[in-house]
Amino acid sequence: MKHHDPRPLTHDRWLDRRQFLGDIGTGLGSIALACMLAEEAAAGPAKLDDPLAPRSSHFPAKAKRVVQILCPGAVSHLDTFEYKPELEKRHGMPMSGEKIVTFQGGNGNLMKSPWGFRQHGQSGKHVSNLFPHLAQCVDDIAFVHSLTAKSNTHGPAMLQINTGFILEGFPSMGAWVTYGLGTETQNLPAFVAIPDVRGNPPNGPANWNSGFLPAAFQGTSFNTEKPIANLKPPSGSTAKEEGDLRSFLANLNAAHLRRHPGHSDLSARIGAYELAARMQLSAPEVTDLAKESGATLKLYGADSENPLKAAYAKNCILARRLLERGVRFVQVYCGGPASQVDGLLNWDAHKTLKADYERHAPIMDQPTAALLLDLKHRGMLKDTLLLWCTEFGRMPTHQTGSEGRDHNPEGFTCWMAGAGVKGGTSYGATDELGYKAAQDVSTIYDFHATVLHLLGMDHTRLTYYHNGTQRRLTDVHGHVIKPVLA
Amino acid sequence: MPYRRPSSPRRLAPTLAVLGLASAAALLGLTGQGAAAPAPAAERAATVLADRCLSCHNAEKKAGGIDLSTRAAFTAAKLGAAKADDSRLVKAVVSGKMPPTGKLPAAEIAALKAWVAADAPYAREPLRALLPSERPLWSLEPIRRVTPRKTRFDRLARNTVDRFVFAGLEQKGLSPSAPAGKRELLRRVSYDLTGLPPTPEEMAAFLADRSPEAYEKVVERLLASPAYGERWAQHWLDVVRYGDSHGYEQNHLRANAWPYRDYVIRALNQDTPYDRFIHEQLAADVVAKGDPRREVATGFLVAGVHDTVGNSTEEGKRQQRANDLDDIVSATAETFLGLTVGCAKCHDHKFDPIPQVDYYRLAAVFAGVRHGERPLPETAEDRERRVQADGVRQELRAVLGGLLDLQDEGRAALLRQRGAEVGRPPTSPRHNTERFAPVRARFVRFTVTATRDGMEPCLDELEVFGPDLPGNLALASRGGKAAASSLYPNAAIHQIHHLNDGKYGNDWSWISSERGKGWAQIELKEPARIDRVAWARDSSTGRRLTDRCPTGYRVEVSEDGASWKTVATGDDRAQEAERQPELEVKALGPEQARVRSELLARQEELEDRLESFSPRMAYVGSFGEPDPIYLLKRGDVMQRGDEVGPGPLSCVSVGDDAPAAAPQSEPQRRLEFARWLTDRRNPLTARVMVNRIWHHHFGRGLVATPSDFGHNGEKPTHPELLDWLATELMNGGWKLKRLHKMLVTTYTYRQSSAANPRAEAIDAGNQYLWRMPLRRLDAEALRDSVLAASGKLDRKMGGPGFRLFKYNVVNVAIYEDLEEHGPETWRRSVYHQRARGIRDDLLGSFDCPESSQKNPRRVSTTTALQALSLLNGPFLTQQAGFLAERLRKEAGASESAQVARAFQIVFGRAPSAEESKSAVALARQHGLDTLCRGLLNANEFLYY
Repeated sequence: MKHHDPRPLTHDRWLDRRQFLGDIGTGLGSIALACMLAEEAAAGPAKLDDPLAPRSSHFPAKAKRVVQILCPGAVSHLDTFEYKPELEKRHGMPMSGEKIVTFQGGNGNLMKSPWGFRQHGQSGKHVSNLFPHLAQCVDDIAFVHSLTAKSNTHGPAMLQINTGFILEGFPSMGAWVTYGLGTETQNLPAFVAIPDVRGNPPNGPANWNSGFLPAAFQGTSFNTEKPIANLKPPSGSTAKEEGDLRSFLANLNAAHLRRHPGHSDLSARIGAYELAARMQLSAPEVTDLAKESGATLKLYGADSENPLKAAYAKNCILARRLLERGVRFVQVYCGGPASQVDGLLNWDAHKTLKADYERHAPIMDQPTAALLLDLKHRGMLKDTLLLWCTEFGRMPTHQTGSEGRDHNPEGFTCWMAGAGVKGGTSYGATDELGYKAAQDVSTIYDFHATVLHLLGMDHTRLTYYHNGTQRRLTDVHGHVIKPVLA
Repeated sequence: MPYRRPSSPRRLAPTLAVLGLASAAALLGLTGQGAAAPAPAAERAATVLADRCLSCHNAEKKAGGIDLSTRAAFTAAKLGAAKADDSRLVKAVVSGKMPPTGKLPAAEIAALKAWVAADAPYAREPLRALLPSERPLWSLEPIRRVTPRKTRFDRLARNTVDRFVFAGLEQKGLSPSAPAGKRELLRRVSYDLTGLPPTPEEMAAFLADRSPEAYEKVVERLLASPAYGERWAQHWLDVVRYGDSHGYEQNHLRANAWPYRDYVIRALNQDTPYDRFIHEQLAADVVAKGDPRREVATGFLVAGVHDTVGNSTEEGKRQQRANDLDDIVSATAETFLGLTVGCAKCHDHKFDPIPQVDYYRLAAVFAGVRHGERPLPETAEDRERRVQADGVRQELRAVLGGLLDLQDEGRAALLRQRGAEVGRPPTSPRHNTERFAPVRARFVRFTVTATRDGMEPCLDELEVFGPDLPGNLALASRGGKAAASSLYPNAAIHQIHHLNDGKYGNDWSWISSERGKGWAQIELKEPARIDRVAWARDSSTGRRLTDRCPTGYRVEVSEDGASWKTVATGDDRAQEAERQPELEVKALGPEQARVRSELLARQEELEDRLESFSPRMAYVGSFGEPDPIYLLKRGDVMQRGDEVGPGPLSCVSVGDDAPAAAPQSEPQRRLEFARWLTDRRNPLTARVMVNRIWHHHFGRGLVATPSDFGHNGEKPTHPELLDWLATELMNGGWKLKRLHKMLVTTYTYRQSSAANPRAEAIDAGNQYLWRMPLRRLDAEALRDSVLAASGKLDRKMGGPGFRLFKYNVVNVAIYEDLEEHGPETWRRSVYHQRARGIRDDLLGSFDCPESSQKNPRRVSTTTALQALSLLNGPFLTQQAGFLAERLRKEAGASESAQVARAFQIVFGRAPSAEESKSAVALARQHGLDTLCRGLLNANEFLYY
């Protein structure tokens, strides 16, 4: 049984933790002792001071949890989900109109996508031939084709898609969501980031940082290959040793608490050691995919001969397992850091678009589609929100002297599926060539506002006082994109 | 020159000025402008109504059917009465029923009564509610020093501070707690003043000292300890967003940021008066000119995030500059004034009386400040080192030359072994000599036809030698003139005249603007016989770049500049790609190999020495011509409004009107601003600082939002105490140690932290300080205490910091977890490199903030991940092992003696019999390391 704190979260409750602890009432000493002694102490009232206790949303929520696929390096919208027949027609012609602001250098003429597009599903959505599996899912997906970013540089733009701001120091959406809603599991971290096996994305852990929110809300990073830091006892230690150490420590702390009654911090910390012990049992269980059926492994492509695809597939399965166990927010990265060769480790196809995406797309396609299908079959898609994001788009032209595309923050595509989302929708569009968002121009703030809305939170009311301002994920902007709501 | 007065009194002036409140005058900067004219009843009442009533009782909302905005509405609602006491309005405020936020002060009730008695005349109609930013702000009222009232606890008081606290307690029906025990007290004051636990010996000495001044002696000792500066510098660095990396896209480490960190530590240890501390941080280039240890104080200005990538568009460039200035303005205002001026960038501040133009006045104060390193003034010691460095550099050149020769010899040997033709070695980025038969020439031209990487070719020096005269004839100092086919644009370090300036290295080189080609030429002062030309891409003893190295070239000479003769080419040179460096080394003869290893060892030694001689640079900003500053509409860099000159905030007045001043020179702007900050009449500066110090001693500020004294921040719990301390700070010459001593010697500070259910029922948050709080060590104190316990704490102060991450640069910086915590990391945590966006497992989980943000106050959370990192993490496991070693060394083989010593070190006390028994049992079964791991995880260790 989970204790549910019904009060909506306000910054005042964080302003002075002592006050917060104090106002929950009387008899803390006895509660603390009860907490310490009880087998299922975590369900006791002492958990009230747990920042991760589940909390009510502002209004009834469609989504209870989120899994966010992030493709760093900037996925070209023109070669994936936004079909531009006009670009095909004008292939090789110069792009007229205003001067393009480029990131890496000169731009050549218009370049059509090397891949064909076909219509799929009842919605008849055009999807590039790069994604045969995702193409089967279009009726579950709402595409937002008119996003715009504030930076044309990977690091800041990754921060913006994750935190709303292009500078470090702001909380990731996952941190905001766990701050707002707490978590349904105490045995696992509330907010998990699963980095690609090829390495951390640009700007690394800043993408799942809690910024100015308390450290309790920061994302914990691990994947199927790299476990949670410090999860295992020091090498050479036996279970007996750890058990004896823990009971010695529990006795010391109990005696200390008897000498210092009335300090709920102390009992909370005793509780934290018990949670840690449970996490030590739960986390290896969740990362162990041995109990997954052969059919499931196959569905995701975890049996693939391509080790990168198999690794990403396993991370997608891990994401589902985490969600099943009550984790509130999971980021899964498909793509690693910037590299000496652009587009080698992530989607940054400056020079050799065709080769790059024929390497990346097969890694991403099947496992992502499988995650969606698997959630659906298990009945979880009803209340799970699946997001697919990248930090900006790419140019309709090719880069001078190469067959790749430069950065384009003026228009790009992200999508969502699952809880509360109207599948088979396409919202907004870039211009006929795919350069700038032209129809229903939207911002990352809008995207974030929509995610919070689906989680039952008003983005203008999810605030935290910091240095003179009630900070928000959406700064002072953002409108819920209503047409994508079911 | 003093600042120009704020130009436009705001529209509120009449309304508030008539209140006759000091706040109104201060708010509008109207002191001495006749604000004290007696206010008629109508004006006074209008002010109270606007401030207190009209946000609900206006024509739109008409709360309870009552509208107070016009006389007609007032009459219609039948609020007045013949006798004021019968008036509905007067009854509501007298009873305290209205306003719902709490009963009005007596003066305001009286004003309303008098107004109703005068038949409620309206000064103007309609009245409207005050905007939040128009309300009087407590922190802008002049500082008032009052005597605390007497209380029944006064006999306990150690100084005046206690009497203010007792007055608060008495008013709430609370009492102070009993004094803390000596052990508790020593741990508390040691942690608060130095961030380190008392040693067992210090504990024993304090317990043994029965003299009445035992505690004062301890306080003096701790304040005199260098650890005091280290501890309080950490608090300060949090406030000022100090970081050791640039942040933003690339987030490279900022290698020379630390001199500012060391400055803060030194300034605090030397008890630099706070006003001087401010002046130095804003303008040390002026007020401490020539003193390298103080000049670095301006690191404050550029301690924040900085975009090192830049942007080529006009908008991008402007935005980049605006971001830098915004960081400086916000940090300065929040740090020293406790005002969130940054909120006024796009519009007038929504809550505080800060018009948008004030933001840009502050931006203009700092408009000449730029991010970057600055060489520090040279001391006599530095000069000596520089001379030594020249000698070392010369020897290093010779050593590197010798190694280069050996490389060619190895190559030749290898080729001979294979029976291949030796030929000329490939060109070297380091050094190349072209020899030819003596020829008479005035012009020498070096034409590049190919480079190793296809990039524009680079030459750091083009040298010409002849048989008749010694030395390099090409030098500009000997009359040589350089020319070239083209020049790489926009790079100050690449110049044509660098070809013959006698300086080596990339920073004094020429690059053509053509890929893979270009020519460079020397015209000698007069024709001479020459037989040798030497050239290199980078022959410095420093970074030694290898890109852009010419591989195809020809050397031509001419007497008249018209007819040319080719004397050497690179056509006979082998290609770099054909070389096999490892095999070449193996092909060397035994004697050559011996020389080579000697040279390599010598090279390493010389390079180490050179590094220690490197000129002292510090990331403390550079100063130049101020940019013109424009008011930006909605903060948009592309929407410039009027130009704005430097000036202080208009809401704080420190003096009489002064004539308008011309725009001030660069350092003058900052200096003038610093003077305004530290003027005794500025009500914020001293208040903000005493509150910061209070915050860290008592776990919570008198104002709970230490960098926000605006309407959005918290109100002071003890306003009179705050003011009294502010005057004490200023009267005491702004000395901080005196203030610390005053606070930690109070009765209040020396109270126990025991629980008291009755007091908790009244004041659960302990805002009135009926006890001392029990606090968890912050991240750095925890880490330092573990090191202190293990005996491994390295007390080396200052200098470059250590890393708690692995660092790699692939265009952008990549930070990875550290697996081994070597001895270089065993220094105090204040010396760890605070890379932005990066959190160490241990420090991060214990709420050490991320340095991209200003952090005036840390939160303290309790999580399972903390437990994991402390129980299983590599740092603690390793240190527990060291503690065990220490115990064996200090307590011998006896298990109970080891346990007793362990308890003394970790908890500052002896174990009980029962504790000793279970500890010995644990150690016996699983080893002393395991016991130590347990002790270092105990609440008793983490809380104080």
